[in-house]
Amino acid sequence: MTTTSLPPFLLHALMAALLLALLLSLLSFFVVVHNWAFLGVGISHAAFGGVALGFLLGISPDLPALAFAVAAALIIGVVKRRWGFHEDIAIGILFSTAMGVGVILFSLSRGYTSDAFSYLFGNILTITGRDLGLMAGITLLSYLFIGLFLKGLILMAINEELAYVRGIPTAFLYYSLLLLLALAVVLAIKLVGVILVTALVVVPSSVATRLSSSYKKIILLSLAVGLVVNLVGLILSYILDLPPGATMAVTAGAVFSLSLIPLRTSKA
Amino acid sequence: MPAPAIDLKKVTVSLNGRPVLENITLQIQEGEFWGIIGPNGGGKTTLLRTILGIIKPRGGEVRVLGISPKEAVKRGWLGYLPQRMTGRNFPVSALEVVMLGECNRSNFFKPFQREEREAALHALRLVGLEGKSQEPFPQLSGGEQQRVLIAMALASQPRVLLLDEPNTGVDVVAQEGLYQVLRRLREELSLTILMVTHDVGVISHFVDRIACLNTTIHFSGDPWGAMECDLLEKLYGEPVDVFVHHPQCQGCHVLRSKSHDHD
Repeated sequence: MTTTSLPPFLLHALMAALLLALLLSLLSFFVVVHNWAFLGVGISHAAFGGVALGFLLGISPDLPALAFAVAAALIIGVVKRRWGFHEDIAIGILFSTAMGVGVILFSLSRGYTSDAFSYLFGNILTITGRDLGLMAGITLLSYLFIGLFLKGLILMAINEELAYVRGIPTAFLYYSLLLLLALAVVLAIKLVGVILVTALVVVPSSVATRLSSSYKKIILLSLAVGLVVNLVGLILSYILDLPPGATMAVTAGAVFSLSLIPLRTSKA
Repeated sequence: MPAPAIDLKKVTVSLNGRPVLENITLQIQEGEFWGIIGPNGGGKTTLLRTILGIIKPRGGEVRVLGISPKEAVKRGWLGYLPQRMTGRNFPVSALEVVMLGECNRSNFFKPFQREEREAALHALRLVGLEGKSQEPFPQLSGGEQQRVLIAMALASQPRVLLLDEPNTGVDVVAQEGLYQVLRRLREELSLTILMVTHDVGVISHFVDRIACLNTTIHFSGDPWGAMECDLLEKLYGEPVDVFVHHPQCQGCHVLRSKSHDHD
């Protein structure tokens, strides 16, 4: 009798795909309603600067990547709230600056190009048990935060001034959301990479918005879409021997394209 | 004697170093319905945001029902309809929008309660939209959306209602209905209403008093007193024709106009 079991790296990747689907799809709703589609791009590229710094200093790139991502999220928030620029302006500046810093630091660190590639396009072999623990923790924290403050977050998304007048701590909710997004994006980089992570942040809720006009249903549908994209993408990549991050991004694009097909029934 | 609903004393506001409001003194008594008119950039929205405590004045004093704006906000005494509602396409029902108006610092982390739902339905009833409570908000007409937003501002049972261009995106007939609703609400709920509008001719029928604002207040008092063409010319910087739209739609006519005076 023979038994088949999944290789440990694939098991780790599947668990990461599952946890990140739950995390990013939840945050995806707020990304879409706030028009923050490029926030994931800005944060992930800023994190790449941190990755390069880690290589230059000869330490694990995880911590500097996290620090760069959190700093980017805060800078984007401050530029918006203090100077009134749209988030996209700060993202556009940070995106290229941090990426430039990353490339310069990589060139100085004499690291292998494949190291940079792991972070640009993801490498499921690098996902550790500690990463999974962090993903589970941040996912739990995000669900607690959004579950607790959903009313305030919704009112803030509709109109921040109105939320302020109702006594809602808008600055706290805004920065908390940005920080959770920064943490989620950094965690997702190992699975799908700096360049492809945006697909997992934007697609789930964009598809769900096509299917429903109720925010509660959109959040639930977004979770379902995220799970389908991540798990189908990862399994396809394993079966067809394709790069996992890229396959997941293409799957996300395909699911979004399918959602554009007109439905006969009206939105629920 | 009760404190005025809104009391501004020598209020001065600057934004990015530019004076937007200068030496504003205005007293609005409880239960009064005021209109604020004036040109674009004249400081109308800034005035409302100062009363709400969103903007801190550089000089002078703002009191709302005898207390600071911040404290009035905390107590839920202020209802507000902003000029630009960014979330008009947000996937919520009309009822949910109104229930969100009941959010405050003590309940914003709790799920919606049954009493909140009933209060929201009551607010929708006040604006004549109880039948649309389950409709998706983005699918309502412009006029209906504005009425839902007024219901949202009313849901917290405020004592003072501040409305910034409530007729934005609303056709002429619906505007008329909107003003009728406001006037009725003022009478039924003894609300104090302060409404910013461009609708110079029409609001004179509905408000008790008007303030003409262009950085400073050029006139405050009886609405017909504000229709003087010299005053409006000073306010807007050029001759102004005032068209009066009759509430029963029996015809519009030019009330005052320099060009007509010269004919």
